[in-house]
Amino acid sequence: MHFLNHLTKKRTAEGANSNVFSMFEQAQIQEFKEAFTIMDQNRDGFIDKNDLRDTFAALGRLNVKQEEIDDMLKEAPGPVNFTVFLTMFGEKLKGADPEETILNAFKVFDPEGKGVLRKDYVTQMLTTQADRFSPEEMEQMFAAFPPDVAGNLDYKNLVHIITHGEEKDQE
Amino acid sequence: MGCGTSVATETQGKIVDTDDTVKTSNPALTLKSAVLIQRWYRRYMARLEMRRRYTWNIFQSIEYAGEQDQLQLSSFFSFMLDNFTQLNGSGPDLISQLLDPVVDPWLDRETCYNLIQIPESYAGPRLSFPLSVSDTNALLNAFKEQQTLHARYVLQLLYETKKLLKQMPNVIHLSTSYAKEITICGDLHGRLDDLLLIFYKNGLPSAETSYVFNGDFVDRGKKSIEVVVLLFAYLLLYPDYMHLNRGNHEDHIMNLRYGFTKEVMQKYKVQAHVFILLFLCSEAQSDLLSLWDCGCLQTHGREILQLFQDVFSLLPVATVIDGKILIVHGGISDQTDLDFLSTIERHKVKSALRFPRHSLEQLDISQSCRRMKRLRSTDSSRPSSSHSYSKGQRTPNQRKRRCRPSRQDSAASTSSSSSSSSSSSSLCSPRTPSCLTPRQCPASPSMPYAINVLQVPFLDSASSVPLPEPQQNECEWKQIVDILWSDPKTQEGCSPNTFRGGGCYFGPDVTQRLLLQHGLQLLIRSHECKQEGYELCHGGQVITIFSASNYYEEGSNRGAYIKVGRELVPRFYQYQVSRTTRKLTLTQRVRAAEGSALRALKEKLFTHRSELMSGFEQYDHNNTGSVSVSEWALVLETVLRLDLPWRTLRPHLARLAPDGSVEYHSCFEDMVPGNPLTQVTPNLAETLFRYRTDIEIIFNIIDKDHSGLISIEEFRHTWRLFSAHLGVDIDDRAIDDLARSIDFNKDGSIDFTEFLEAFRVVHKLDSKDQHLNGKTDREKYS
Repeated sequence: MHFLNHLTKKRTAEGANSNVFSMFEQAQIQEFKEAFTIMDQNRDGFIDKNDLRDTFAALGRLNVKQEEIDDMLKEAPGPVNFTVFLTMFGEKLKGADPEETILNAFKVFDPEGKGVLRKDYVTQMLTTQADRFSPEEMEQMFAAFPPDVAGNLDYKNLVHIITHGEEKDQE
Repeated sequence: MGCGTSVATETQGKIVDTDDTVKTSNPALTLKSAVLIQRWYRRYMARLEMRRRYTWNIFQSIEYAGEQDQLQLSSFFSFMLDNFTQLNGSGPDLISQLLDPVVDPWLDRETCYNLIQIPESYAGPRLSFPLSVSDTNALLNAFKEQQTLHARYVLQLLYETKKLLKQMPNVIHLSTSYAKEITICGDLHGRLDDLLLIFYKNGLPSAETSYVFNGDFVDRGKKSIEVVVLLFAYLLLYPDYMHLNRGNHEDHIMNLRYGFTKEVMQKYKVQAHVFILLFLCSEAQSDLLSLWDCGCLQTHGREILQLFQDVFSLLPVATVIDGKILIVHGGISDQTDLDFLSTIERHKVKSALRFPRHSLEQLDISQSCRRMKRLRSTDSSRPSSSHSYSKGQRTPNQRKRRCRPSRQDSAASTSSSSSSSSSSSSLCSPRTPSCLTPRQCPASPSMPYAINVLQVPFLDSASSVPLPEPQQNECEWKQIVDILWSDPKTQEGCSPNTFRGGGCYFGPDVTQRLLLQHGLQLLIRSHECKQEGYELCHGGQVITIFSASNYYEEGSNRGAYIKVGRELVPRFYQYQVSRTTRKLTLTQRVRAAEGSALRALKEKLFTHRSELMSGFEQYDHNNTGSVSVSEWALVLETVLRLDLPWRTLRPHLARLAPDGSVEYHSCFEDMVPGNPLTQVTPNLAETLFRYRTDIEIIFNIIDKDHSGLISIEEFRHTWRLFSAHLGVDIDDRAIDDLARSIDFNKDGSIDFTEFLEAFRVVHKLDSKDQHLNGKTDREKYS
């Protein structure tokens, strides 16, 4: 279902008022606003569709397809400024998954617990189902986390680097 | 043997069963897991992108803030020079010493460079004029081999260039019917590697390969001399195929701060004591003396700099291709008029930072200062406040601190071009810069700043009042400054470029109007570093081209150049210098760049410690040592005014207390001064840290023979001047104590390099010394 419709319906059902800012604490809003500003490259207070995609993903782990973004932009009351953005997607903004959860997700595909997955299997797993990766995204992941010469991807290492790399950068 | 599960098409024997098990018994789980992984990874990439972007913001903010400070310093000098002839009535005329370059009559005798002896041991290139291809090839090879061109040839080259440039108009018109294809390059900033890479990829300048270099050849990079020598050499060799536009860094005052002057002095200094030695040992003392008299044994560096100053001001300011494509370094303003621009005497604008003489009104300091105060407080209460994110310019409110003309009140101002109309960029020519002191921490961050009026006791009586100059000079100056300093913006209109402190922000309507007015179709400019080396805006009517790759840091950006042929459709070519960049992953590159940016930012915090602490303490009523994140962010932005995402950066800059508030002392924890001088009071120390670069510039100016030494008296003068300018109350005794505590090399002289070393900020956590701009030498062409 279209995100926007989903949200609109939900809002109506809850009888929520138009003040989306009451959904969040002041500190949170300020954080989102900062992130919004970072994404608003030309500093005009509006985000275009490219900025939009990056912003969602950075803030709320949303995966929004290009067609959906286009549709959304069409349906938005006007250009997407911060308030509109928050209104449309406020509910979806959540925190990060812990390392354990991600590891378990990988382990589903590695029931023998080898700790590695074949590159082509990973490709198939991520590009053919659910929120499909594009070939470019897949390529990018392998460029950043190259499989070994036998074609095996050490997913434990990948998860560790991403999770702890982020943590380290946050220190 | 494969590990884990495999694709259905592959048969792995025993693993196949597991495959099916996974797939058939837990389809929901499989799906969920895939989704989780996809989302998690995408979020990671997006956060990386966000880090990359704010790193970029940090670099840019600090860069532009630095340029603004430069402007403040220069405006102070200008004011002093224009209005007062003597300091104290006795003693050296320090003010005129400060800015009037020493003009050697010798320099007018063109052939004197012939008298410069080139030692047998010189292994560098030897040029013969008029230049030929073998000369330029010799230069290319020599510079690749890290050789330095002898001063004699530099001087001769500059003379010839000066002669050539004098014949050129302000606006050069090119035609593709002659040149066929023209290559346009942007800022190089002393990056020889990038220039060589461009020549390698695109070909050396020749009849078949025409070039336009769009300014900013020097400063920041370590090889400015080599870059500019090559460009001038090709200019002399192929005046019809090689074209240079002036940039805002082709300006001797900018060069003082941003490294070109230093580079020249380092590479071309002849110590006075060397001469003395020669003199004592030589038989031919009279010959030596006459050589000394005509300046041949003195510091060539100074002469070279003098010539560069002339040559820079003689560079054309614009190039037009086929009457359709306009190429200028910065941009335009709503006052830009290409016809008028063609008529002015461009060489008179030696530096954008030396303003035209002020009118009589400005000489009454106290009155003007009060006016400034009034104007400033009205400014701060404007609706375009710093709290709004949707603004075209970066915090115009806060950055307008020196851009209000007191001419608004001046009855004598009649010219419409310098009136305080909304669109006029003349707002950016400060009138009473002496009133513009650095920020003091306000009583509460939401209130406008308290401005300290300059206390300059010895300037009470204006000794002589110069007559007001005609308006003409100012219009001309403004035309040039707008061309060299402006930036495009997305919103319509034309407003003062308060971020840079000069030129305008020009909107798409301004571009449209100018293009229409002159029958043009495209504006190509440089002046701003772009991630991809180029960027389009204003609906494709404006292209920014930037040719210094890795400008901020390794991997920070690509460089690019444009090629246009008869059809006048621009084609872009990108590149990136540095072998190491390609081996690093995106994450590593972002992390490296981010690290650099954060270090620079932490230094900023450190050098504003006392102001920041004052700000924090105002919110910390119970002296807990912590404030809320919001308060912390607010204080930082109020004091530093860099317009950065402070909350996002917080984890890198300060620690949180268990209750989620920010322990503000932690901002300053991991930095210490270089070699602390014990006699220096903390207040003085911080001032010295913050203004280290400015002080260095002043010292360099005073140190006429560029020996690295100044006398105690000069040191005192400098310090008094500067502290008056800053509005900082440092008493004379503290200065004298300070001076005494420094090692004296010779009687009564201070080695100011040594002195300044003490005020370099050292990061405690550093294991190696990192240089932001110095990583040039591991070259490989990509």
